[in-house]
Amino acid sequence: MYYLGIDVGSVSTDLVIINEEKKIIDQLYLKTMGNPIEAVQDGLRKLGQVYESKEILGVGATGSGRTLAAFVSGADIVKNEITAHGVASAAFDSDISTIIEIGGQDSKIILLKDGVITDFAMNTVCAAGTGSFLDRQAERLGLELKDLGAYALRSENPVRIAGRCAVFAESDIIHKQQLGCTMEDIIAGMSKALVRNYLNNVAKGKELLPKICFQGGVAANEGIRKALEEALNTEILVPEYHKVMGAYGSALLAKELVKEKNGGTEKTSLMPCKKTRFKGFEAGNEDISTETFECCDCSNNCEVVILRSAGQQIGCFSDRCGKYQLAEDDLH
Amino acid sequence: MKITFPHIGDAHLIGRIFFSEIGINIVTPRANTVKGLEKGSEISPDEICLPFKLMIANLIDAYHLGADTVVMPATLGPCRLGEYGELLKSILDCKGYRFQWILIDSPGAIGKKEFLSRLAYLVSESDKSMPVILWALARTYQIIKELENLDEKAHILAGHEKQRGECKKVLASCRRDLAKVTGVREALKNIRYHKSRLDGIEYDFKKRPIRLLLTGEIFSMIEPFANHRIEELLMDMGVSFKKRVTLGWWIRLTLFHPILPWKPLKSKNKYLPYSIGGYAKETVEEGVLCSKKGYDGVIQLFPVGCMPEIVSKAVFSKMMKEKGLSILTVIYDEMGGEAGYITRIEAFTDMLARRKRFEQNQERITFLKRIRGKVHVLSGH
Repeated sequence: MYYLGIDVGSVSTDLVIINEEKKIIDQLYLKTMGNPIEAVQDGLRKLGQVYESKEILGVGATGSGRTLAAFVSGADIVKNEITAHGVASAAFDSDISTIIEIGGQDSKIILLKDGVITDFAMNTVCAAGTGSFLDRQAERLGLELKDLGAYALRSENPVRIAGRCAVFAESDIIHKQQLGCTMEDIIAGMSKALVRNYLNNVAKGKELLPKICFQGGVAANEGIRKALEEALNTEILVPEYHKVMGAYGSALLAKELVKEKNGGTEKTSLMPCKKTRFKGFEAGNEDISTETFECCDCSNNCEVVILRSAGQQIGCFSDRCGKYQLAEDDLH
Repeated sequence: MKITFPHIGDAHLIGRIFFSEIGINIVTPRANTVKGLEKGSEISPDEICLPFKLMIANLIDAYHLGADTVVMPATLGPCRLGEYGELLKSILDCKGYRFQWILIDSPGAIGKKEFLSRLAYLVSESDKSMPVILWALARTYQIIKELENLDEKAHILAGHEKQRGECKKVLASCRRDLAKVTGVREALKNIRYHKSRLDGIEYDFKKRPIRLLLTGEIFSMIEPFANHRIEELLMDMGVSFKKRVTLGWWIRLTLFHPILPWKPLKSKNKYLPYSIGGYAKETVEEGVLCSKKGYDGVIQLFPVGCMPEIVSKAVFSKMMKEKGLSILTVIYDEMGGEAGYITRIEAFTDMLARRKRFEQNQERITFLKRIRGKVHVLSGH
């Protein structure tokens, strides 16, 4: 019996299947490519070839597209990424005290004590120190994103690049290029700038105690990891499944919820009292359409989005009064 | 004379009741919308904060609806808000929106005599006698207070309701009805009816929801459009919360307090003993209160660029270290995307709830260990 976790982020959509022992059995890392519905469906189709729908006892959704993912798949629990990442790291290694998570659009710091989140912070107004910035620079330098780390590691004299703002950083990079600095030194300088920006903005005023765990898509970049280790002067742990930790966390949360719903007993496979809302892997083949309109029934003028699958409404966003929402069933 | 004033929370509901009671016409601008905000940002200085942009949009809207006199609660403080009245006036004058202005400044700043003469001008076109006007004023204040009590009660009970969303529905229905009532008496009756409805909901008092204190810049606290309806969001999440900064609080602090010296509102704190403008000092006091009264956490709200609140945010980070408080700061601007706000607030409440559960478990474990220890002693081990 398995649990499914889905994390829909700005850059990637990740799906994870865990077993009763909280071990990751299968993982998918897909590009969202601006189409989260298709990405989730694609993931469901791929997993559907290996697993059967009735093997899934619970589904969790997280990430910035979590509500959408829940509508498409029929998730039992929809939770924010911070809780999901905290839960995932605590399950991965209970000694972790600090989580550094840098994703496509946001970066966060999560502090844990005894496996419980005690404090967190997220980037506030700007996305300068995140994955999209790296993505854009890789593209501008004509490199593959995954090669950036290797370039940075080969550098001997990293150049100084301003990290406060992505626009300023870019003009600094162009300037250094025109001076003839090597690609390696520029990329290493950029990694350092990103780390400096992260530590000064997101982690400002926080005490980063070891063990420090680095996760999210950017954790794949060895250059950034090295820059972080140098700045913090300590070893940094990158978990094997660092890219899908959010999805792993949401699968754990789904498992926790199912356990709670069944009165706190572990053996859910023998007596599943409450059924999961999971629509099955077949949901990957549904034809989903969206409709957006401005509701003029009151002065709020909400811009309502309705999701339909084969003519049937499956979800709805942004109606303040809640009149377009579907009735909640008994699971929540 | 057709009076208007910018939207701030329930001011339009209460203002309408008061002025119709004393026979003065008022024009209520349409509710804040994203489109209105766009118009407001066009005409406002670029660096000014969100409240200003919303207020100026309201006034332009009211002008087109036929208003000719603006009543503006300004506080004449060292915060930019103190100049709001004047700045709004000069910008609107420049753009050709000619209004009469009645600025309700704090009597402490402009003197009691000037304050009372401005109030007298406000009601000068009323055909009612002075005692009737004063009676209406007193009853209006009572409406404000009772409505606040209703809100406060609903905010706390929201954490205990069995059917999620019942408390929120009562508040919404109360406001819908208040927009239709014709006089002070009917308004009070309506609020009391909704209070009894609130009492009729089923609650589970065994539940121990997390308790939050909401504080911050006054406009963002009171106007739901400016804080993306954080109160409704928290009620939907099943959180019990308290919000002390309200319209009535402002009236007590800036209007009553200087006139009625026997109503002290003072409390001291060692972190920020002086007023530095706006309500920074008051916000810090709320933080102190949180640690004393056993709240689980504080959410601080303010618009981008609010100087006084930036100072209190800095004080808060010191208090977080010294007193072990949990404080989340949410900063609002024109950005409409709500996902970011929801993620932060949800993560904050989740963190507090999981921590509370963990602490309760720890307590249970130590309790069980103690009992087991005693059993061992009794059985001679």
